[in-house]
Amino acid sequence: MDILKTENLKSYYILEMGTEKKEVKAVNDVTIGIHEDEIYGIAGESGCGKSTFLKTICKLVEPPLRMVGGSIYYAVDGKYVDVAEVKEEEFRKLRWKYISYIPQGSMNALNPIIRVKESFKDFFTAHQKINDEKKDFEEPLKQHLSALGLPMRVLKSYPHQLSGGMRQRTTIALATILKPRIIVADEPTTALDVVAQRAVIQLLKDIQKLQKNTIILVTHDMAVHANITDRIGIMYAGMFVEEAKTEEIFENPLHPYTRFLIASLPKMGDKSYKPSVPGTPPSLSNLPPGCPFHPRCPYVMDICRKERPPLVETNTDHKSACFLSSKEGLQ
Amino acid sequence: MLFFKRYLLPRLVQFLVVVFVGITIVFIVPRLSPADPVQEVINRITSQGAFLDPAAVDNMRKSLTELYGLGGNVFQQYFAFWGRLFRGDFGPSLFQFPTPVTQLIMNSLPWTAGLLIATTLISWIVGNFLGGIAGYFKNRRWAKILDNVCMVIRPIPYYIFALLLLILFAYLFPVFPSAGGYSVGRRIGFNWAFISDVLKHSFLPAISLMVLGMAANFMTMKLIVSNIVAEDYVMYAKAGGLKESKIAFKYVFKNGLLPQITGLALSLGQIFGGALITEIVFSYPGIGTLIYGAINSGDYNLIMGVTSLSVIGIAGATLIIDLLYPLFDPRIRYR
Amino acid sequence: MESFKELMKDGRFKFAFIVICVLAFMSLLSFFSPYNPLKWNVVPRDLPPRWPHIFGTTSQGQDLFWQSTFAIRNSLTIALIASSISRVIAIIVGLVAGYRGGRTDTILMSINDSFVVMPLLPILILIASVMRGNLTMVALGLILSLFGWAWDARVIRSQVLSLREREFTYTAILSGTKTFNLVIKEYFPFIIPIIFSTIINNMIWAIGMEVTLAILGLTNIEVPTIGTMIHWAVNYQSMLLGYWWWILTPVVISIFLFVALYLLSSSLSEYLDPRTRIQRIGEARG
Repeated sequence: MDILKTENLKSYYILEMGTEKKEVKAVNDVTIGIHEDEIYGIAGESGCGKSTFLKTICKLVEPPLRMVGGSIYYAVDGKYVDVAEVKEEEFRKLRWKYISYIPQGSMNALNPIIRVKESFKDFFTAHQKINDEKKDFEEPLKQHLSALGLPMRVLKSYPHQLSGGMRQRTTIALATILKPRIIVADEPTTALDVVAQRAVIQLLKDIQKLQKNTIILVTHDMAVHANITDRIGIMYAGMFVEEAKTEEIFENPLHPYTRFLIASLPKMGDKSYKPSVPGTPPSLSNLPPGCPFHPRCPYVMDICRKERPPLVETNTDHKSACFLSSKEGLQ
Repeated sequence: MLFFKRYLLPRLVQFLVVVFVGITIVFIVPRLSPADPVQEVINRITSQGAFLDPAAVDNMRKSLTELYGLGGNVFQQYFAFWGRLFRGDFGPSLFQFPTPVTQLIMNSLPWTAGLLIATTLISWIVGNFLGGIAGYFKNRRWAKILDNVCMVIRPIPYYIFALLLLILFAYLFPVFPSAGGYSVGRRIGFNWAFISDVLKHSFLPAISLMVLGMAANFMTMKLIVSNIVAEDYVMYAKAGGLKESKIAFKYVFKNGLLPQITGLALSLGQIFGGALITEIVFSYPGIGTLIYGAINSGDYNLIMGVTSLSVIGIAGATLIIDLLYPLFDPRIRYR
Repeated sequence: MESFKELMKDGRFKFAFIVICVLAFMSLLSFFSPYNPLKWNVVPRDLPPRWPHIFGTTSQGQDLFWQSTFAIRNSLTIALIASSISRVIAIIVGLVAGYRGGRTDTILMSINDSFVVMPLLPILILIASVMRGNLTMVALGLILSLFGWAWDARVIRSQVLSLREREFTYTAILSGTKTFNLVIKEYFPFIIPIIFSTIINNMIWAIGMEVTLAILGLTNIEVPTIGTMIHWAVNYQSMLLGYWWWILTPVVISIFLFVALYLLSSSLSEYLDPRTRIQRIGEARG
């Protein structure tokens, strides 16, 4: 079964100024299922709603962001639980033990006035009792850090004493301390140099192999997706437009947007001219009718301007939201 | 060692600069007046009709010049001034001759210090506490109402507020005594009767200082906390499922108090000024009333003494707070 | 004009603006006063508020209403003199320290911080008692300006520091712009909003100091200002004698003045704050 699924999920930023009201439809009717024991990547350009989607499924929704429709289900103890029906205190207990979060730019993710070890302790004790400090907390912590290749000195340091890459890896260690079933990572490599990026990607791979959990990885860097993800979901203007196994996406993209995306990736030895998508992404507060991509799509048909294509399975394990592939099949 | 050089040393130097600039100003200002104080005193005496032997007048002139520290040229006077400062000698009060200025100040100091320390601490603690909660729950109605109330109170100067309180509670509804530090004729001692009397007399002055102090602290703390609540590490703690009380105290409040400590150091001079005026309004026997009497009687030595000590005292208190700050903020302690 | 309408939506600004207009109107009325403010005993003494003396009269035989018009005018004048001159000093110090950096900066900031930390009241008392009685409005304004620049110089300096690191500075220098031109033409648009928000705060401080010194009897107490009105009222024991209108009038006027100026300054600085401004623009366009 899926470890997490959403049905018709809608999450908008609602800005009200006096009598004017503006809705930014960051997550616009998303129905998606994430499997167990996989690394699921979400790709898309800046501003397409990826980070908002992550925040929504973690229930980290703060005004002006509001979840306005749909449902989120976690698979807890073999049953689907509607997240909206879980009470605050119950959900607080679920956090970190079931689902943890690695934020974009962990530069500021740790409390600056306490040592790293104490931050770990705070997160730990929020969900687990410590009877014997050494046995229940320190030993497992040290093991965890060494398994992830982090030096022990990190524990004694204050966050500002660590380098950016080190801080990011510490945050990852913190996110996995309770061995959660789902880890949600929002652009974990974006703020780092290439060397640190490699270390982070390797770390995530190792954790997943070790703990056999699910990682939902958001990044606009297709190279990272190619490197570690099992499946990829492509987001555009608040919607998922394609979803398939990583190799499928790279070798056989169906949705016109994905095709442009893959075609624009540089290849070693290939010096040909790379086309990019004409036009600009739509404003999320002022979406065009029908398919949100239709103003820029070279294969646009009449129906595309009127109706929004649903995300349906067009090949085995390959979903696409486009009237092209659903009508004419493989191109 | 590096820490000492980077943090402590500049602050020590700053302290010395402040004291130097302040004391120099205190030295220069009276000398800018064209009036010759020695001559004025002599005129005052002779105008009272007494006949004086010229030799005696000369002697008087010499000793007065000595007293006023006006012997020698400007530079000699300056060095002599500093020399006397180090010895704690500000000369005798000219009005309450021959009581040394230092003694007069020492008599009034405990009253001012007591009032100042108590009110500053209470208004800092209470104001920050309320402001912190209000910043955390900034959309609740009570937080908004309190914010508006403080917004109106805050710009009112201390003495205006003190006058209002005086009119209201000492005249219209005579609940509290209107003047003095303790009732006339009461014996001083460590007994309850005296202490309660003192408390009753200091109530109104303390209240006027505290209300305004709390309003200011409330507003700044509320602003600080409402900004911190949006910080990454607070959101992360929420994502981690930490208990709300823990997030509120360890992640939000603790971080919010840090800039307030610095703010306290910076506003000491202002609080001190406010305290002086409040004392005058209530005839509270502290340094404020002392300096008021000095102004009215033209007692330069006393004014200079009070000013010098104020500069040193405030600069010193600021230095102490600055030196204590690294104990609270590890970002300064470790580089 | 649009900005004005925007500002008026803020309740604080509206209240402050109305009050300031009323007070400004009153100070203009002073030019039409039927009584000479410096003369005593021009009207019957100690009359409670009643037409034609709508604020009452004092024990010195002066009409409180017309006295107030002069008081407001003079207090505001002193405050304006003090804050404008101190702006100039603050701008010069802030610009030089921020742009030059290095040792000039360290020295200037050291002196600057001395003025921030020092308790100014005792020093002002000392100065005023030396100049006793000769403290005209202009002199008082000048002296206040000499002490009121420190805090704002620091604010300007930090703004200049951040501007200096921006790309357009390097572009300008590389294309040969002279330092003076660079500073004046490029930086000033950023500094002007700071000047606006700090000038009002500085005025509040200046009026506060003026009133304080006047109550202590250190300024020229013949000239009617808010401070001197309170001074005379306290001196003549107006409270004890029950002439409450005498002390209440300047106290109430000063409360209105301070609160209005403060609300004006905070609503203006919130309006000019680039962060909240962008939010507003985004909302307006969407």
